[in-house]
Amino acid sequence: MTTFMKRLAIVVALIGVAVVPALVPASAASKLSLWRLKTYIPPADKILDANAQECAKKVGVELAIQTYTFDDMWTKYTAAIESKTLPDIAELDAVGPARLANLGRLTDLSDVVAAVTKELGPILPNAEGAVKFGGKFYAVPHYAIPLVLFYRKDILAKVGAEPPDTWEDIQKVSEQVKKAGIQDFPNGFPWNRTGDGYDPAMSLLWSYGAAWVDKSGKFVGIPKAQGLEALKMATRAYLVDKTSAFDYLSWSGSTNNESFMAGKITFTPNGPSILYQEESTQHPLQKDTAIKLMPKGPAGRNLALTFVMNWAVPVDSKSTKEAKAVVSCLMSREPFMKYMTGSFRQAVPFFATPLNDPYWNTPTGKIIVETVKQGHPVGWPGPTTPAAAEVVSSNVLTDMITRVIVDKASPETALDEANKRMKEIYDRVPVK
Amino acid sequence: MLRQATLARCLVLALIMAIVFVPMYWIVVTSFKTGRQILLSQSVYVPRPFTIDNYVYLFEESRFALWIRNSAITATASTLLSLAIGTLGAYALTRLRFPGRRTFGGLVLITYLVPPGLMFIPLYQTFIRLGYTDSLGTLILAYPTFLVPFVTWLLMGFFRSIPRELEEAALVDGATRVQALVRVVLPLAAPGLLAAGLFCFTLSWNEFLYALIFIADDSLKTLPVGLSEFVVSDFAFWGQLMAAATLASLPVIVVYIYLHKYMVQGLTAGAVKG
Amino acid sequence: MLTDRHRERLLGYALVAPVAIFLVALVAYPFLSAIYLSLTEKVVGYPARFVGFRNYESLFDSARFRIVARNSAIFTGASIVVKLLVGMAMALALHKVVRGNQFIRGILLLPWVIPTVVIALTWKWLLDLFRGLVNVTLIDVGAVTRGVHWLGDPTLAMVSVVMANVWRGFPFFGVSFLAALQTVPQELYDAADVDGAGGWQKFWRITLPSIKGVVAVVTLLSTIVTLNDFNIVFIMTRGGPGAATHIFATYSYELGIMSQRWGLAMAASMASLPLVALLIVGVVRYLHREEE
Repeated sequence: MTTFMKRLAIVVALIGVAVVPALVPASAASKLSLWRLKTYIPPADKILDANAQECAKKVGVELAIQTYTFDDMWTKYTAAIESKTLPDIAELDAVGPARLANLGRLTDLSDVVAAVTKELGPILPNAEGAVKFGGKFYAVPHYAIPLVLFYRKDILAKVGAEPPDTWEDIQKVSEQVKKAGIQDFPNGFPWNRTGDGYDPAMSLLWSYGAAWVDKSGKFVGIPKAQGLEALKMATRAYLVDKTSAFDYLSWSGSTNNESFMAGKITFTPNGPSILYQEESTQHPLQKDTAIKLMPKGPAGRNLALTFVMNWAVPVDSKSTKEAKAVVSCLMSREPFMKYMTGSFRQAVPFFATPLNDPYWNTPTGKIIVETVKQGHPVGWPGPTTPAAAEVVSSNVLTDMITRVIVDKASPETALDEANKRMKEIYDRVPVK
Repeated sequence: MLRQATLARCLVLALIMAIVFVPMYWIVVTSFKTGRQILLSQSVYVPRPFTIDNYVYLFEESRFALWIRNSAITATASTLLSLAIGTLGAYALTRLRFPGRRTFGGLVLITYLVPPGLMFIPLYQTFIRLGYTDSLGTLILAYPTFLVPFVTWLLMGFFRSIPRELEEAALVDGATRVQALVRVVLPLAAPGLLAAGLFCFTLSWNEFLYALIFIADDSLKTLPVGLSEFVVSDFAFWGQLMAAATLASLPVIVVYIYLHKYMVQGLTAGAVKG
Repeated sequence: MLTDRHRERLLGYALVAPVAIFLVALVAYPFLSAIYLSLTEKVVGYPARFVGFRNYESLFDSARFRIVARNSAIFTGASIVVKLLVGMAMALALHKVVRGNQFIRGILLLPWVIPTVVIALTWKWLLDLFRGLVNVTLIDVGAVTRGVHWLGDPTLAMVSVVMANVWRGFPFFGVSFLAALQTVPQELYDAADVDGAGGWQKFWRITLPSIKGVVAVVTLLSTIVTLNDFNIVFIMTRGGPGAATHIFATYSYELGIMSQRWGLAMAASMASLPLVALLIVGVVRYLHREEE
């Protein structure tokens, strides 16, 4: 036993020598901190980091960059908000600026937006709803990843169908594919707890004239007739045609990508990431994959833009002047164009000049750009408010749909419940 | 009679091994496939061609070695700290008589009434007030908050099953209480200590939330936080993830086997003799 | 002059002092803060506003919360029972086997050591409708003609997450029980053999009573950990399909982090507190009774 104890003591001592340096807290006194999203395009991330460090050098500060994943973003931000440890420069999602601006935690960035406008042209009007509050800009839109409709050209050719333009078309073609025995569950629209679920859910409702607010952002409730129509369309593939499998309701953000690329589904809503993945793996389905604008309904084509990243400067910052300067620099022409053109057509800008750049002049590029140009922010037809943010992030819309599909509730009941939930949110959360 | 029992035992073991084996096999096999093979579900059972690109990526592109080092430091230190505190507490609560020990024993478990998923913010604020965040030491202090109650109670269970007579014999021979603890009780409770230590280590090794929030510095990331970066919203880097999982698991197993041989068998044998 | 009794008392306090200091310093504030916040209307970033039991009332009125509570009970109950049985079987089987004992012990430890994220993702893939190994094998073997909806059917989804949880957690039971078995004196078994006792009798009359303490504690602690388990369900189904696998952990995540309603999230998590408290009191009393 004594030899063992001796050995143990040696090991503990060695550990101690290794551990002690790590126990000293990192001194962050002179550095600015930047939090950014970790994307699925490592090369683009590298360009962004290089840009940020160069900009920091130009401004004369040291920059510490930290990354977060999409799933953990709000966990980190929640802890930071409560503990007053927000970073100096924060990359926020579509609802972040609304939430933080309402708390009074964001610096006015109107001058930065003005400077960026000089470099990159005017900002898209539909981008303002998510970042402009009370006439002032509280964030600078960085890029959007729009949702488009992915479909299999070859399968559509096999059943003699045209690329679908309406929600109705998608259901019909899916039925044809299933009847022809090509796939069991070709309709890959997942009403799950991810962007692949709530983004199309909003587009669907809006394209049926079933928005839940008016132009000022005030709550009016989903109108009954239109809401029921939209619900019927959402649940048809699962309950009636059986062209969607219940498993899709449990999908994560990457499962629909993988299922599409495994050749198991014909349709799915997704960001352009599938194009990137197929290209980078020389996927055999590359030639058969095509995209289209998300479908329209009786009230038109009203696309949602839920995946948007914005730069903000929290007031917690010790040096807002330097932070704003770094953001300005990052969004100036040269660094931004370098980032955009290195993003494999995944990062779509919100400013006119890069948006109309020939870089997007490919068949798929045009569709992607068109989606951003047409897309509406969360909370349409009103601005993005913290209440609208909560409606989306608490999954009210997809829950409404799954209540009918999984719990077999009546559409009327589900609609009533959803309206009640939303009313409770709007009553409670201040609409600035 | 004996043969039946042995047969039953072998069957049970074989069944459990098979159930453990299948997902493990898939994990290891996937780690040797390229992204393309995984996406296309090619060569499902045996990767052809074999590639070690994922492992290379772990060490060249990602900071995997750093994550392992950070997790190893944090887990080992937390384990040792928790074992030390818990052993002393467990011994006192089972062997010594003092007023309030019953209530105290129960109170120790109160910490489990609130899930860590909600405690993380006030705990984070505590560390901010102490001016001690963004360091592995923060985690080493934070992890015992959920490890110590467990270690205490588990060891209480083991200590109880050791007959008092053995200690009393040592006391009669002139040993102090603490000497009796170290020379008599601990060796006999060695299997329990090892189990408790293993529990502490794996819980710390796998802990995600505190490591995500308390540490901002990229060079101090622990393994679970690093691994979570392989799952980006639209994409999962399966190959690298599985390679990381394989590499992260093996050392722990090896250490456990080694410790079991020397610590449990060695200590127990020593105790019986002397 | 310190009597033996005094000395014992002082030593007792001295040895539990580290535990006490540590827990009071680091756990007391978060614990009390959590309880307080559950009684407030607190949105992230805004000051808290005391509202008494209003959060609890609205939760108990909510049909969704009742579903979440039911799911949590099923998930935890089923997982614990299966883990107990499998862990006991593993411990009994490994207790006597001599050849390759160490190696097998190590292998069976793997599910516990592999990072949970990987386990959840692996099981999610294995049970995938189209490409999962389970369905592919079942179809190949001819057991089914179409893929089974492991993560689509509400009941099967619960079964799937329980399976993954059991796979991950049984080694803990196994290792602890194995360690406990090693403390049972061989003489008891030898005496029973002399009396002509059979295998089952030996188990019920000797083994089980001897390791009762460890079984109780391990079961209690695993119950608490399983009740708060987040990763497995979140990664495999996110609580879906619909709310079929929504449990306390995923529900309070949705409330607290996604909807930023911190007070309500605390209340939702605290809802399992009475049950846990009962369990703790029960086990503590039981063990103290055994001690007498």
